[in-house]
Amino acid sequence: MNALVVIVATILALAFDASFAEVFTLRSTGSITPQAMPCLIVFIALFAPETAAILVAILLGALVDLSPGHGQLGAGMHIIGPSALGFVATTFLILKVRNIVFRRRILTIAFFAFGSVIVIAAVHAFVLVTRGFMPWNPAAVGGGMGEFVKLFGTAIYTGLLAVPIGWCFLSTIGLWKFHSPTGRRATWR
Amino acid sequence: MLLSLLPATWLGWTSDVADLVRVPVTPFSHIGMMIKNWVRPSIEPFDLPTDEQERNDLAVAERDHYRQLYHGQMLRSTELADQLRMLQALPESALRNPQPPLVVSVDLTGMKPSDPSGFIELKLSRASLGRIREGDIAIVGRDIVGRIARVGMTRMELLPSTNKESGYLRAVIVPANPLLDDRPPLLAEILLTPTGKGAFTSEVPVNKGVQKGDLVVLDDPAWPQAGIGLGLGVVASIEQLDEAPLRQTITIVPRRRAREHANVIVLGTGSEATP
Repeated sequence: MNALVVIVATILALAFDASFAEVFTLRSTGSITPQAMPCLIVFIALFAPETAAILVAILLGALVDLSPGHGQLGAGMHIIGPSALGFVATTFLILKVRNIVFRRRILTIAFFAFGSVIVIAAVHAFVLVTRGFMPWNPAAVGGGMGEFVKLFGTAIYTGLLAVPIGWCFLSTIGLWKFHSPTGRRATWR
Repeated sequence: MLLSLLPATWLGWTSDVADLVRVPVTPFSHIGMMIKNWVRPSIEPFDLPTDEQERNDLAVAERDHYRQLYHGQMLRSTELADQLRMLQALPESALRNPQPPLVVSVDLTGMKPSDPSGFIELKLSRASLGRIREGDIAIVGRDIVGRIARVGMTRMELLPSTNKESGYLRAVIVPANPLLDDRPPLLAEILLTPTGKGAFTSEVPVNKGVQKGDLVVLDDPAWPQAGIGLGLGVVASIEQLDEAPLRQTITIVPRRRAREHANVIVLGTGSEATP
């Protein structure tokens, strides 16, 4: 896997999610906004070697946790873990099923991007609830049904965004060099 | 998993790590914010056009009046401070008069678009160094959009005033058109509660005559003096409380939000930058 391409794609995805994504925000429906990072993690999980995919998922999740507005505790502190674990869970699930799906279809990336937003949010909620059980932390407070609806809206919107982003990824798949240099056959078809 | 369970007091290092990992992202994010603002510019409120001239005349008259009073008090307090310094044998630098705030324009470089009250990342430029401190007020036009939550190594963070972390705010409700309105110029003193979803709520007695569209301005001594009198929002809805017939619950919506703009003005309380 070409590390330079992954780094560039990560920087662009982080920058997109923290700034330009506001262009697509549906303000009248509770600020539903699509995310680029789940699309990237789905693409990497579909094609990269297993170990590399898991490592990249941890790193990208930690970077998302350190982004503005994510898991902030005040005074600039961040909770590192919710997104990192969510990305790992998503990657793990995709690794389990990637051999039985049509990986080079944009619709596959879009569907997995939709699912990844749900999985990441579920892990995020689990981590925050677990954190709230610790005697030294305040209890987690949920957003109720409104947040649940917003999550599904975000998942659908991200799935739609995954169509053009997935097309870009698949068009440049040669640059990513996903095939294993030591194996006899490529890890992607 | 273990990291995410640590108490907040053990996570201070994450702010420095975030500063460092955001270094390569911030330039692209900054460009993204500028393009976003060009593609989807903020919708400016109509800002009470019906009485703008009268409002400006009134403001200018009030400003001149209070400037006179301020200078008078300043001279008197300087005189008293000199006397006190001599009596207590304090150095020349002690008991100085308060400095007016420094006006610094700061660009936005990042945020979480799906969270209308989430932290906003600001560019830390050389012009801001030393001038901006934590707790300083950020404004757009005449409206408060938040306070500086942190000045880091490579960036600053803005806490929108509608974020729950802002806590309760003391404010007053004034009519939107004071010259055309026969209601008193100050309708009610209220305690605002940020909802965390881009608005405030409060309760007000029914007999105060608060109406939709009335302005809510800051009157909180816990905030920097420069922000007193600046707008926090407008009354967007009024609902009768069934359990308390003599009180109403009101929702206040900010007229301007930092996330809808490419830059904000920070009223810095730091020292003037040295040339």
